Amino acid sequence: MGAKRYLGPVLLGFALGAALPLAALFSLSGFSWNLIETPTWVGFANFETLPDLTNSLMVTLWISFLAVVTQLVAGLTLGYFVSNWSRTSKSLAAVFLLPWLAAPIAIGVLWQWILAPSGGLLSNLFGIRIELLANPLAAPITIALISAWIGTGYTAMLVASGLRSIPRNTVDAARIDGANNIEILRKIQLPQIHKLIFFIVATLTLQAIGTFDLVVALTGGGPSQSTDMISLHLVNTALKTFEIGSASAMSILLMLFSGVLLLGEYLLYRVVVRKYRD
Amino acid sequence: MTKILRPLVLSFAAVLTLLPFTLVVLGAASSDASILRTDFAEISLDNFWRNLSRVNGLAEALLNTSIYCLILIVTQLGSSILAAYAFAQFNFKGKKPLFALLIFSYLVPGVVTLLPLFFLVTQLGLKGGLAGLLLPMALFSPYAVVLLRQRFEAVPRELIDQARLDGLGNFGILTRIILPMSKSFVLLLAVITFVSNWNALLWPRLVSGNDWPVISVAIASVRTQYDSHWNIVLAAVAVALIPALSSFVIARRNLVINPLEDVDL
Amino acid sequence: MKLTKTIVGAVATLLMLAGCATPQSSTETVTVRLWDDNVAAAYTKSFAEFTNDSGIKVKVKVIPWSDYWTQLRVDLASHTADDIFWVNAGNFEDYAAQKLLKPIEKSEFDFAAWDNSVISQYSKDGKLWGVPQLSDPGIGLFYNKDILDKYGISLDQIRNLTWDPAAKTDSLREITTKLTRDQNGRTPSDAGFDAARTQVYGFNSAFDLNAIVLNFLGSNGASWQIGDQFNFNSAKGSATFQYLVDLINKYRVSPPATDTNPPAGGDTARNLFIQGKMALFESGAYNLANVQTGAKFHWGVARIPAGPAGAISVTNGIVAAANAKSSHPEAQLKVLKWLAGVGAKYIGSTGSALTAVTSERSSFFNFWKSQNIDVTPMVEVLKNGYVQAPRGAKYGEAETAYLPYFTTLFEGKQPLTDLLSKAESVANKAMGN
Repeated sequence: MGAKRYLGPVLLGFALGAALPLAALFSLSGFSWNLIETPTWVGFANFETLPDLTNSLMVTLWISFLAVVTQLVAGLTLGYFVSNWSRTSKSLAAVFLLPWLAAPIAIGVLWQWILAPSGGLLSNLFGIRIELLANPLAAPITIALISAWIGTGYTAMLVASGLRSIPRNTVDAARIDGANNIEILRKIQLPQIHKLIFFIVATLTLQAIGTFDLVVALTGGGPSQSTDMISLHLVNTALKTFEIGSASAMSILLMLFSGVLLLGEYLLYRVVVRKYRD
Repeated sequence: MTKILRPLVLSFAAVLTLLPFTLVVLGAASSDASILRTDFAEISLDNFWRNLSRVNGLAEALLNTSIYCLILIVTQLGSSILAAYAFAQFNFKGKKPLFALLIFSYLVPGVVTLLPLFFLVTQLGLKGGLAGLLLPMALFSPYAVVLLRQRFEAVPRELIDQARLDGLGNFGILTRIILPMSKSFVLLLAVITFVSNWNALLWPRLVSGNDWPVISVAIASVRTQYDSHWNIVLAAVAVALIPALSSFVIARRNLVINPLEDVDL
Repeated sequence: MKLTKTIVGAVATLLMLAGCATPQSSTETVTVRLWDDNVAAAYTKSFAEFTNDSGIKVKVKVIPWSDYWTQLRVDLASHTADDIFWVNAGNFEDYAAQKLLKPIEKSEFDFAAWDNSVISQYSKDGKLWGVPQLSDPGIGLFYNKDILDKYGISLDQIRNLTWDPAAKTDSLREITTKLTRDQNGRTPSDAGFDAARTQVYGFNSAFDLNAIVLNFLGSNGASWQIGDQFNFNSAKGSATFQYLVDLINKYRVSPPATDTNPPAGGDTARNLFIQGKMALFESGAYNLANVQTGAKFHWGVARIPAGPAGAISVTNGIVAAANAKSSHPEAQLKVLKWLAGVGAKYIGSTGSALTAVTSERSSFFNFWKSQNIDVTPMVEVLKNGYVQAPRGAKYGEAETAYLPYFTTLFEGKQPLTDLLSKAESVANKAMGN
């Protein structure tokens, strides 16, 4: 059929860009290999190092949770206020998208300057040391917030477009019935965009788990590994200590981890939707 | 209530968004002395050019990245348009599983596939150049395929049937009917492809590093090279940001699509 | 299923086979890889002369330090590495063991021309694994003369600093305290000293192995490693670390560890010194050129502070290793011989590094003499003996393992003994001891 011809390029692309590396990961995860010696078969031994990943998994969960919740709340709020689509809102829409268009390394470097312990913007402005990126408790929170700064505008625009696609009649009818803005929001608008909200949460979660450039640019995983997110940990295992088999096993675990997380969010979503319907 | 809250929220968000970028510009135009004191006392365009001139290889990186992104736009969109058309127009064995596979591959975190691809590219001797950079991703953009398929499916059946009666073949239908109706989507995807590859760091740093630097690698180098000369670093950052930020001028509010619009969860 | 298995197996094999990719260099160009910009500039000049004489072209490639070891291993594994590349002591043994490096033969080279310490550093299994290129003088104590004058400290006092962890106080602590000032001009020994608003630091105590830790350990009669084995968790080692940590957190004469901890903080102290915000800066010859270009004050170099065992410094060498799988071995050999002999004279000429070829060292000393900086304290200190530089085939893994313990240790918020012993055991475990 003609279909094969049209599918050809993307199939080739899929084979090269996804199938091949994933297949390689699965086979490499059973070996111990440091690139210059011959690989030795170790079976499932690489997977038994899961406890070593505990810190990275916890860090990833914590930062992702903070980033997703912040972006969701801020995005919903901002999107709600933009959705009236007045002239001001329209022109501001472009502005709000700017952080999302900027390169994470550029944003990372910028915030490094702003938050530098000494000699940076804030430390010179206030004359004190800024410990946000050097403190193990504050650093993950700072990264999550900067991550949220990047994505909130885009989330807001998604929410705004979702809200605007709700038929005018529905909202008008409710208003005629005497509902105030808050009730309209709770009973009509939010329920109408529930699918969109799930999509946002899922996308933000995936993005948060995969955060790499920003962490490298801001903290490199420190201090005391408090920002050692799993993608960074994985890359270091492969490229600094050259434990290829271990890194491959970690990659598989990472995929499982994000799959489980997404599944959990989906189940939660279904529960919430069903409860709301009743 | 909303009347009061709206302007407050919008202005707060606008300031919060624009302030850091303004600071980049101010910092980039500062002299060595004034950036150390961060008093913004000596801001001038001259300073900006002077700071910029101390960055080596910025022009080269800009050119490289532009070439890299433009090629990817053509190849990725090309392959995605063809594939989306196949999914939208034809029925074939394995259509559903294949589409599911595409979605699955989109959900895989980037580092997972990038590492084995890096070793593969190195084994093939393609490290250090454009070919290695392009090879694994030239034809592969699952996001674009999904989006375009949805858009193509929304084209009214009557138009297509009419076109077939008028004698157009499959390819003609794609190019004369479907694509013209999807212009803004294609443009939007072009912008997204451009921006996400312009901003990429890990892959280009591994594969082409300093041999064929892209802009994000150049920024990382400037950062290490000019550790506390923030004015120089920020000048490089400013230049790196311009193309990506100005792409919003092209796409504006079209940048935001909800791919789940017609999907049943 | 069988097809899938075959594909998977083939894919794995493809990736794992040391598949020989075709080298990209033309038949007449030898490639040389290193991480130091300054020396690369010297090499380029040097090779211009070499190409004139021999007709062989040489291409110099600089890979930044942060990416250097990743790129080197990946390239060596796929046989696309350069013909000649720098290695340091912590990173050559693996490659030598896997026969990826060519040993340097006594029959082809004159070993007597080189600094002995570098030869022994890079010898394993009776063979030498690279052509000595750089041989660090010892570590020295950079001083900011303007700050010293401002607070009435004489050069004599700086040149004879001593320290003793067992003593109640010592000249190092006393003088650096006098030199540390907050924005109100108070020293750490004055009431109301505001550490968060320190304008000038007295010293650069930090977890900097090469510049601080190794020398203080040696000067206290302790050590970091013996051969491959880490042994810094001794009584004297523990006392040394406690002293260094106290300089930061108790005496407050050095910047907070969060600023100076590796990897991000490696250049913090140097930048502070260059900006005139640090009075004394213990560091090596690798920073001479940087200070020269950046400092806007009068400065000089003195002998490092002497501990209970004297002033003992580390010395480190760098070699240019030969790729065993080079596709032009004869040209490669010629370039190596050039680097090992006459070509070395370019290295010292910008003052940024001291060559390991002893006969060509005059350019380094002449350069600094012409700048009115006396660098002899750096060389003299080596007469007292020297500390072994870090080594071991798995040193990279060991470093990844011990680093988190040391960064925490230097922050001074947790008891030192526990962290130090854990650091030693994970380091030895990673090293395979």
